Amino acid sequence: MGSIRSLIHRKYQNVKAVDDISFDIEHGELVGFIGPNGAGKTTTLKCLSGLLYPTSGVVKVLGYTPFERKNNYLKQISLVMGQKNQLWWDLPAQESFLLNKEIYEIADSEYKRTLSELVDLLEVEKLLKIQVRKLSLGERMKMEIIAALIHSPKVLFLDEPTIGLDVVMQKNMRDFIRSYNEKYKATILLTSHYMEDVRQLAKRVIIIDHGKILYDGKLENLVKKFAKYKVLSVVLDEYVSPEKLSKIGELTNYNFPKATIRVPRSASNVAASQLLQDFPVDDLNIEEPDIEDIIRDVFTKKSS
Amino acid sequence: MKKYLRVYLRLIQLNFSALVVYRGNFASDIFASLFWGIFSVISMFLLTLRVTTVYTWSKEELMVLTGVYSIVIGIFHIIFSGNFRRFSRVVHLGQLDGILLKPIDSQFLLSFHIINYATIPRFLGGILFVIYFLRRIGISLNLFDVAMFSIFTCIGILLLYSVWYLLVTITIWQSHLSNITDFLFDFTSSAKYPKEMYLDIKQIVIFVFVPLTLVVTTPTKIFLHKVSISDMIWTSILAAVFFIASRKFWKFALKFYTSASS
Amino acid sequence: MRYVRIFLLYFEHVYQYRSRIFVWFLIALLSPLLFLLYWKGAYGTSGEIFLGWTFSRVSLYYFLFIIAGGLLVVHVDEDAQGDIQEGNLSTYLVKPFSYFWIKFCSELPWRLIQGLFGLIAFLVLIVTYGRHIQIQISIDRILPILLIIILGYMVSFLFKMIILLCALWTTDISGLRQLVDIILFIFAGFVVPLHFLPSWLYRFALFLPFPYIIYVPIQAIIGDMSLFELMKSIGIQIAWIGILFMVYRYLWFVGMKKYSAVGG
Repeated sequence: MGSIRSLIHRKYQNVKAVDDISFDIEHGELVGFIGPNGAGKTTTLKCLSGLLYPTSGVVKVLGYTPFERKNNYLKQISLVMGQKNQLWWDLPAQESFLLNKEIYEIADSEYKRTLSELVDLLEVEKLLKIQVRKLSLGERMKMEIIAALIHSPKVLFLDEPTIGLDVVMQKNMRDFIRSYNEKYKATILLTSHYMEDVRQLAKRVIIIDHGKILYDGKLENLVKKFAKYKVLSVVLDEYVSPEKLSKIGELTNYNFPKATIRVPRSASNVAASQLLQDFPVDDLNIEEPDIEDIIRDVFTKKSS
Repeated sequence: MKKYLRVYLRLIQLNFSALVVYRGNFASDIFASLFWGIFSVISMFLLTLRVTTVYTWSKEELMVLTGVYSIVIGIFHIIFSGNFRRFSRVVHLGQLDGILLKPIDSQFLLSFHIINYATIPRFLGGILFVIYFLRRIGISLNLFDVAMFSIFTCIGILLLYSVWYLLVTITIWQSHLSNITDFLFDFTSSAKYPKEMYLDIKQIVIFVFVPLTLVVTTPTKIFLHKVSISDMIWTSILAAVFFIASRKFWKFALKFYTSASS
Repeated sequence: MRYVRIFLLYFEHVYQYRSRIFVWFLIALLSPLLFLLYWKGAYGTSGEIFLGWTFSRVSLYYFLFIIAGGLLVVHVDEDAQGDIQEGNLSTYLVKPFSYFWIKFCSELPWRLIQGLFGLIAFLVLIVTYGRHIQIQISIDRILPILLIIILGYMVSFLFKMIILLCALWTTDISGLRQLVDIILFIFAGFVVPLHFLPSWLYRFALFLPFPYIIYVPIQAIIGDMSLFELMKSIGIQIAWIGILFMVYRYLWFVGMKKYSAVGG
């Protein structure tokens, strides 16, 4: 019965994708937006690039209002979103670049220079003349990046740049983003739900969830601010029962001879010396907690 | 602007390169388009088999009309129809985003991206067809006729393009209505009948067809030396009106697409 | 009886697409009306043209075509891209259902809904334009006529399934499909009633299965086929169903070997 009702009556719900967020970004910054899926990251990028106009509020990038999509604005930005490709499938990537050259009105000399720099940076010299359909996924992504950067944008929006890539390609992608930011001083905003992207790339991190900003600042400060504890990782000489180890602090992992124990930040030194006194310890390290854990805590705290 | 010309030249070259890659499909595409050309000839032939005049048009004149239809539709298919077919897929797959962020008019890029060289034989066939039947009727053409014909063929194609673009824009709201393109192919084939046929039906319905019928009938009448000034004026006015409407409606659709509610 | 459930599932699914079906219906509506408008001019003020086809009768033919075009023209070959080229066929093969009957259940809702739109349009047209048109169907003809329509659908469906299977051998089936469309246009009676073809072509057409999809069912409804002629048509339809079914089975058998060999 319910299904027949739904044939006639469709229900809609209003959901705020992004709810009152504000931030400023300087030229040349590399900022990471992190948050779980559906947090509002992509929506924010779309607003910044000009694909969405906000219901209220002001958006200004490079002095322009993005959603007016003025040609002079568009020539200075680039949005790279996931696996969406703009290259002509049956032709060498080179041909697609030439089309972009005309669309962005890039001068011949500038085009040649930018192209050769990007090709060197990504090491794809030999692949330029091969049909895009014949390239591997990683090679294709590199070509897509060249197509997206051939007009030397001042601002680069990257939406989940490492999604779907294997470990090696992820590393290459991160290295490239870092080099591009250093070399061309382009402002880069990237969104991700992979911690490693952020750890490797972003000095400044904005955490967003359910459309709201939970944190905006340096990564190291995030750790200090939200990490209420430290982690002791221990290697034991002889077997010690879990109950005994739990007296020191929260035993998060025990795989003899290795154990990890969580202790409050202030008590970490005391706990460490107690460990060394009471138990046969072979090796002991005091570490900061994992960023993933910190962020998870930040999220669960806010959503509860 | 010069930029658009350069971009289009590049698109011509890219489409040609892609063609060379897919030579096999190119051959079968040529056959397919010739089939449709032959089909429209055959169906007009069947329709005129047992009759002498229809709405003041003789059999030969109707055949000239069919030939002009192949010419107009031929050009339209070469330049535009592949893009219309691709349209709803572009919207559906989110590729419209990439197009909107390029510093070039989105309607332009969407309308001209694909060039269908395989329809050229049909276009040429239409020309031969027209020449043959004009000779049968005994009409000889001078340069002025050809110039006027070319001008009004272009105006007619602009009109046809604008009607298509208006309707295809609807898929921004209803992406599953991709078969609007199929409907448009069918609807456009109503242009192969003489305009006079449509004057015989209720006023309201005429408005639906009039733009389309002028597209092919007007240039044909130029060649048949039967054209009236009002035909030419109406064709031009409607082309301008529909083109402007298509631009405005497109901008309106983009406003919707880029709003948070889409 | 599980196929009845499958059919109902597809029906519910297809019902969501009713605006899409409406667009297709407009296509089925447009051509016959345009042809009819053309004939109006051809007939002019005179009554009969030839072979007993008055303008009334031609009108009835094209009006009925609005229903027949939607109900009896099968589009299942459009699934060739998804099922065969992209390999969705595999998902059907692992299920304990026959591919043929799944396709049958998925296609039928589209046809019925479009036929329904056609029926509504037909009734509207008859009421506004065709009060002088008469259909004579006597009670004892109803069953054979229904049978002709159903069998016509089966011929149409089988034929299109064969075309669908052709995608197993060619990469680009669209050329074939366009050729088939043109053949159907001419020989099923889309453009003009087959009777209007040159007589040699008409007699040739009757050897093909296509007239039995659209033209013969419409003729049956118009009402002046004798019981004998109806029975004869039914017999020919059954014969064609038999032939097409065997062709389909053969292609399926050979095609499946090829399909699984490629690791589809």
